[in-house]
Amino acid sequence: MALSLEQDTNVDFTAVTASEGRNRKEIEDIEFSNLLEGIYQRYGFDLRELETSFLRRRIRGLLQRENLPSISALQEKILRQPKSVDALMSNLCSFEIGLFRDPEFYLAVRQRCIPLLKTYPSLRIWVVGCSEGDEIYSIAMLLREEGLSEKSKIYATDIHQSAWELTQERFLDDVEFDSARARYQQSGGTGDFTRYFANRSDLKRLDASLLENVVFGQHNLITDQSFNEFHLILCRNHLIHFKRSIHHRAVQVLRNSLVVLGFLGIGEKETLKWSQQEKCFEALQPNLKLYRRTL
Amino acid sequence: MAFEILLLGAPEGSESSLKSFLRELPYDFSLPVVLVQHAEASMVSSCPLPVSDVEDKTLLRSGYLYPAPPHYQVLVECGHLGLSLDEAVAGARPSIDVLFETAAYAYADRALAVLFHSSHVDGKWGIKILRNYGAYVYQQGIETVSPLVGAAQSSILQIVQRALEASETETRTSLLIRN
Repeated sequence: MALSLEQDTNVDFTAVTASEGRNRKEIEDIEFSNLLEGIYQRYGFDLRELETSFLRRRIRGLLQRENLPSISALQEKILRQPKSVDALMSNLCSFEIGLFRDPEFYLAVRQRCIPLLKTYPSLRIWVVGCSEGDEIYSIAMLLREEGLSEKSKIYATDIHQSAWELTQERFLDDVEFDSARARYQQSGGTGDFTRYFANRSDLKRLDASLLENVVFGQHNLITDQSFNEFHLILCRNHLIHFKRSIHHRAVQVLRNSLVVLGFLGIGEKETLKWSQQEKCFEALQPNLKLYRRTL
Repeated sequence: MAFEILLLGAPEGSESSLKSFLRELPYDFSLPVVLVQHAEASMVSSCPLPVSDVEDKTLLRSGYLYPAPPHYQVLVECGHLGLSLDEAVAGARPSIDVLFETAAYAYADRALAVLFHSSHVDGKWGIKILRNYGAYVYQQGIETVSPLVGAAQSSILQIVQRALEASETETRTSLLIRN
């Protein structure tokens, strides 16, 4: 029985017995953990603390695209060809987020955080897990409209360099543009949304001048330490990819990276409650994932 | 080996079958029940099971219903649910294919799944993946030949309950070899 897993419609799927299915799982679990161990030893990227289901889906996609029969075959390829590990890492940084995701969150940043952030002489902002840059662009637009661009520096990080390449080339299709503009307005946007695009006659590519005050670095919340003190951290929909067992460690790094009374934003369905650090934060508003470090 | 999770996939158009299934579920059902539905209107109020809000890394408990939150993919991990902003699959986020695929990796033959009848494509691929890992799946509207299950005259709940009984009496293998 082949152990590959194809989405190809030509492949004949057959029901297997419970014990055959169990064997397949046991073998693939071993191949999977060997692959992660191999990537770590060969390239230093530590994927072992990411959620299994998330990785398994991305790896299955890679097997299909590269037409490989098993996870072991992918391991063989990745160990020998550094380009393959870059393709995997780039894939792991890619998500469908959308500009101004959860507009009410950005509205709260504008109304509750900005007045306080204006009192600092200079601002450091960290966008954790920047993916294709949607959170960077959103906060950069907001800062520009609030007259804070000049004194702000945005630090953007992700687990691989390719996230920054994706960010610099962020294109929107028509559907994305319309929904992004609607969310921009709901989030309290005060200007003409079209001016944030490279070319007014072709509203596709986001204006790279929004990235002027942004620096990118490769950073992994699980293996790396805090590297600066920030006034605002946006770590939205990034914690979801880490294993439950090390969630507290990620939250600890975030806390250690905030000035006292600094702000932390996490994803709509993320929670700090699995972490003992929860007591160090105070929610600005119930039902909104925007916190202030109090301890 | 006994089943440990029940997965429900309700694509667009299957709302009425889903609703009647949920209504009939016994309040002391023995597995955690995870539901991905396409319809925006929630069907869960008709279900006697307590409903748990799904946040990141929500622990799975037997006898609770876990409806997928909107605009995320729901990923099944062993013992809990994960969320992701992975792209839409078959035009859907949450997608049934994603639920079924990740449940296959995490639970393999310990998963029990129902795909409600619909012309929508989401879920049909995921069902095949689950089968490849030895899970028990029931696809409404597809007649299956299995003397133990006797699908034709039974409600979906009866089919699920018979599968659960079969898993306890070690007769499951004969129930599972089918196309």
